[in-house]
Amino acid sequence: MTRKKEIRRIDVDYLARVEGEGSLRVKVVDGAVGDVEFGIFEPPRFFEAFMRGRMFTEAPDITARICGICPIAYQMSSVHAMEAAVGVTVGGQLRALRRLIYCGEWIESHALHVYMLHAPDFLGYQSAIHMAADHRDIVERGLRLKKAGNSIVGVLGGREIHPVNVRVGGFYRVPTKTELLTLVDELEWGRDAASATVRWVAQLPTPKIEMDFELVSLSHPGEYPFNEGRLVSNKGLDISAAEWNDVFAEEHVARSNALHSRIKGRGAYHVGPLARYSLNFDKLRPLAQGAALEAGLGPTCSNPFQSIVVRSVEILHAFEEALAIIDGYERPEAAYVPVTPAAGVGHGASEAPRGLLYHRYRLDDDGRILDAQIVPPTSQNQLTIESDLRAVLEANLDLPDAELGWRLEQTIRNYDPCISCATHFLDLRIERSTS
Amino acid sequence: MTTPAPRVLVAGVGNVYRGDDGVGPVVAARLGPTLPSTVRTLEGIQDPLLVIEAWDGAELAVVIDAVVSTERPGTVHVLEVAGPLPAMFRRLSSHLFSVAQVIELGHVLGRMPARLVVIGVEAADMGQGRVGLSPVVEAAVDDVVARVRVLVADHLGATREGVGNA
Repeated sequence: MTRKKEIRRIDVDYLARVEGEGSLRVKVVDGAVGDVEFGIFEPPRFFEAFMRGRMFTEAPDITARICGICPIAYQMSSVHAMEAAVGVTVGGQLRALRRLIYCGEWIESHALHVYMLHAPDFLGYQSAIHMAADHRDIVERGLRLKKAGNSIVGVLGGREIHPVNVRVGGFYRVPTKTELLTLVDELEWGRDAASATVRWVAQLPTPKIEMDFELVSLSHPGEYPFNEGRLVSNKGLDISAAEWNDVFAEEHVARSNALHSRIKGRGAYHVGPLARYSLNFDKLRPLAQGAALEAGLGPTCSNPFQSIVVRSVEILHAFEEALAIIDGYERPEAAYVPVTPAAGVGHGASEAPRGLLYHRYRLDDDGRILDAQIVPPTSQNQLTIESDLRAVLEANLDLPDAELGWRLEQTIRNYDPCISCATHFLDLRIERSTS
Repeated sequence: MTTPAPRVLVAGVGNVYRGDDGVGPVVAARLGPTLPSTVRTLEGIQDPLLVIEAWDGAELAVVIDAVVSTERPGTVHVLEVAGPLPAMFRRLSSHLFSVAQVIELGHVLGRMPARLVVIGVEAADMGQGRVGLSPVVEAAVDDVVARVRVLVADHLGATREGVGNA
């Protein structure tokens, strides 16, 4: 039999509204989906090498530069890992301030994704710029919410860009009560605007699907997780951060410099807002919990399209949490707990807006970093994203390439993958061959 | 908490840990201490949406960013912005919302400074985890610093506010 081969290929030079740089290669052979490769380029891998030989006190400022959107997450996971390595515990108001600065980062990151990146998909706009022409008030609300989050980071972090006030043991300087009270009016506006956001996104048209994810997040007995807790899943996982490498494995993937994470013996898993929400619903602040139920969410959610609703619920939670922390704040006498260099290994896991961010460092006697391991949320979600892309492809193979490509882009945006600090290109190729 | 609107904003967009992408922050850092107090300098913006807030109410905003087009690395482009930016600014950004997109959004929302100048420096290498500019881009920094200083001095000239030469 003569073999006739026809290949159709479309190239999209970047994936709009996903941070950073990556590629998506799809092969369709004889009408069946072949390889699906979502490749990303991960800055943390370069930083792991860059950290060797640095002092343990340098980690928060250096790793904060990995991501322009999530500097606080990198600072928090690194200070917790270092404190574990040298045997220091930070509590009281310093601990509360860490939660407060994390609220700021969640608000700004989530507001950015909900309003500027994700909502246009549901409303049929190519971008937030096109959406702004018709929905100016909505986009302005999103920008103001984001700014409110920036303000928290600015007051606590010393500045909004590259916050420099976080250190191992606490902060270089702690704010006065008066300084925090200057935030309250805008945070109260933000709390109301976040409630309105949940109502707004709840009425966006979302497909009704449920994915069989293994959802993994931190879980703390008394609070919705930011900095502390055990690592749990909806399929029985329950470990400390120190056991990370006993349970998770990273595999090198030849097509990119990324390492893909999997649970040993089980495979793909999912971190991020859906996981946090589903594993910690009962810890949400009252307004956030009520808004979630009113929006039609149950106590768990595994529909990636509804991640926009879950992110909005977390924005509301973060405003409530921030206001509560400020209300109860009393300026501590010391801005930090003294830390002394010591040889050891420290693990830190915290909840970046996009999900679990794990750091591990090994230090020598002088506190110099011997080696570092940084596992960002997106590399943990990569297998899950590829699996979802495959399902979307199989269900929509009859669509024209342009429309199919757009559907795939939307699928990726559901996961808010963080590939930031990388150039803003995604090379999308769908290759169809027939025999 | 609200920061009062600056008369002049100088913003360096980019990441100093991505080689030549750091040219904006390097220029802004070098200028910062030498500029008068009515000028607000932002050094390392990786999220260009922040500049929409920062330039609200400004008389002049100067944004410095790395670009890649067919021009020789180190080439300096200076654009008085009245509408959308040319393709070279659209194509490449290390930032999730590019400077070009932020300018488009600013126009749609009616949130633009009275005058906007964008300075693009052609990058040679934006390798990840690389600290420092490539020699050809480093060689362009003095030129960009001088151009920004002249832009700011000309603008403030009417009020006789000095611009240092450090």
